[in-house]
Amino acid sequence: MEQSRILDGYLQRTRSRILILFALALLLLLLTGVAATLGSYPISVLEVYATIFAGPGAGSEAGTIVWDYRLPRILMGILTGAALGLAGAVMQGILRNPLASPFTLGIASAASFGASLAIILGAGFVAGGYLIAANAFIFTLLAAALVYGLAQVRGITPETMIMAGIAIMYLFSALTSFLQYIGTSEDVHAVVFWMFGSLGRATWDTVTIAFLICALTFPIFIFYARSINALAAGDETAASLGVAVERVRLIGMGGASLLTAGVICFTGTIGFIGLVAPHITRMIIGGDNRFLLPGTALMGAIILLAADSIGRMIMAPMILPVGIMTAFLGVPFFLYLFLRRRRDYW
Amino acid sequence: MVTITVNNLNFSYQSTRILHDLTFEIKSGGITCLVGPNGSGKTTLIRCIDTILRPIGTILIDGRNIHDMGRRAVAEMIGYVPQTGARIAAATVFDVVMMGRTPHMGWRSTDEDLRYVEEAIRLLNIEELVDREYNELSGGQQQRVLIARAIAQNPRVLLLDEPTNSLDIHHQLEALSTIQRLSKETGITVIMAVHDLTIAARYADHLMMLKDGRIVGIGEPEDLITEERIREVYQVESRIFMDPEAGLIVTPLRPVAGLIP
Repeated sequence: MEQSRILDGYLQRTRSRILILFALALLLLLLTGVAATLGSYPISVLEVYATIFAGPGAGSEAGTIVWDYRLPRILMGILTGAALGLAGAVMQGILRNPLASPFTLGIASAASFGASLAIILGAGFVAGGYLIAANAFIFTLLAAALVYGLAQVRGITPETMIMAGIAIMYLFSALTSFLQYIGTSEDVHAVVFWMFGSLGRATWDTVTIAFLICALTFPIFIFYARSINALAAGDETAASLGVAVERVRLIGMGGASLLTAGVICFTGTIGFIGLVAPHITRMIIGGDNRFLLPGTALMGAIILLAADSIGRMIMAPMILPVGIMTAFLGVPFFLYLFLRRRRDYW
Repeated sequence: MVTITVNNLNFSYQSTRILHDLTFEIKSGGITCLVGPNGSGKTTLIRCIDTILRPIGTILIDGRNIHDMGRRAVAEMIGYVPQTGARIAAATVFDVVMMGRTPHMGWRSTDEDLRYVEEAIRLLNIEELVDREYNELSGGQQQRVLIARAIAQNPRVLLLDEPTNSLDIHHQLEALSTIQRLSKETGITVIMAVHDLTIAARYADHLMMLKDGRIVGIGEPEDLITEERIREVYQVESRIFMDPEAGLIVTPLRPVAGLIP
């Protein structure tokens, strides 16, 4: 019958989208087990799951290694990948731009500047161990606020936001270069290493903070998924469909900035994931943000964790920073999907 | 059925005045066609009624000022079919029609939402396209999808901006008859900007002719569309025929002498 045929495609797509989400979650779970076996102390995958289910402080040597050393790094990888992927998908949605990423608004260069300020001048907002992270976090949000303020002068549209973001990005890049110019070579090396992005600095404390920020922002994005869907048809159409366009854009941008700041302040700037994880997921799962957003979070986590694991193995015992590995791993996959696909998806 | 009352409506883009003090009333459903030359303010008027633009003056629907209503409340009542051309990333035809349910729908779509979407898709005869990517469609196919989206919105007022300008004659007739039938069966009030005066005469219950942001006339198509008025408003010599089946037919002949060297 014609009637049911119309809905059939949609219902079937919805079912397979849910299935894909479950498959991605399962893959992430498996990957977590495998990633925790990597390192000089030999542990099997099954032992990993056993120690995880046994809980922390079970006393075994394997338990100590998994809980104290490997899990923080892995969880930080998952949170960072999920946050950057999700922030990227939201930015692409609210800016209606396939080239948007969490770093489009100059956020990465602001974070780098904040970190440089702490490393080179020792100046910052919080003294002690969190100096670098706090600086990176605060300058990231400062950059986002600046972009918003500048864009607001001419009305918050994708164009004004991207223009303001480019200006802010160059401003903070210049400031960072200036600091590097006056810094000692050891400091500059530390800044460059920070900018590679690495999970090596993860602790349970930083994991907890990053987790809280993710837990705060994820539900907001999922709530606005329908509104972001309507934005794809243009501001006027979305407004005409009852969407408070400027509010959704402000919340999307603010949330994506907070999410990005909350992870990269601990890891350094990790590029690529926020740009490409949304595209890969969109090609697999489609453009409906109700599925795209959680899917991208899972995909980002998978890519980052896989990249970090390979970065730890490929030149072991030397560990390659994950920021370098993400692109090496993701580009071929992205190009494969992109070149193979015939449909005009963006 | 709703009554739309417009009082002293003025709108300017920066310093350019587009609409000059429009006052009129549209009663009792049916189709009202807006006609007039390019730049006469048809699209601007439609966008003011959809509250996309914020004009000076008031627009009342059943006595309520729509510019005092929330975005969502307006969207529950008014559907808008824009001109085609905008791309919609990563959306199937079904997704686009489903967008029409945005003001009514929560995070999950209900059976009722799906029923409206299905109905709109059948009304516009786009069953064959539902699983296609919207961006891959021709302009005419996209136009029908956008009309279906507005119908799925189940509005009480339907605004259309040149809804047939990329449709072939078959799909023009089909889309307009669907809109006409819908307005008759459900009492929905339709306001439609149209260039083709023959189409306007054929489908309009009421006609409003605009020029330079002012109302030239409101009334029955037969009273308003005359060879003299077309000369005055469009600066075009024309001939008007009556066809027993199609009704009034306007044939433009040439620009008024002196306009083209």
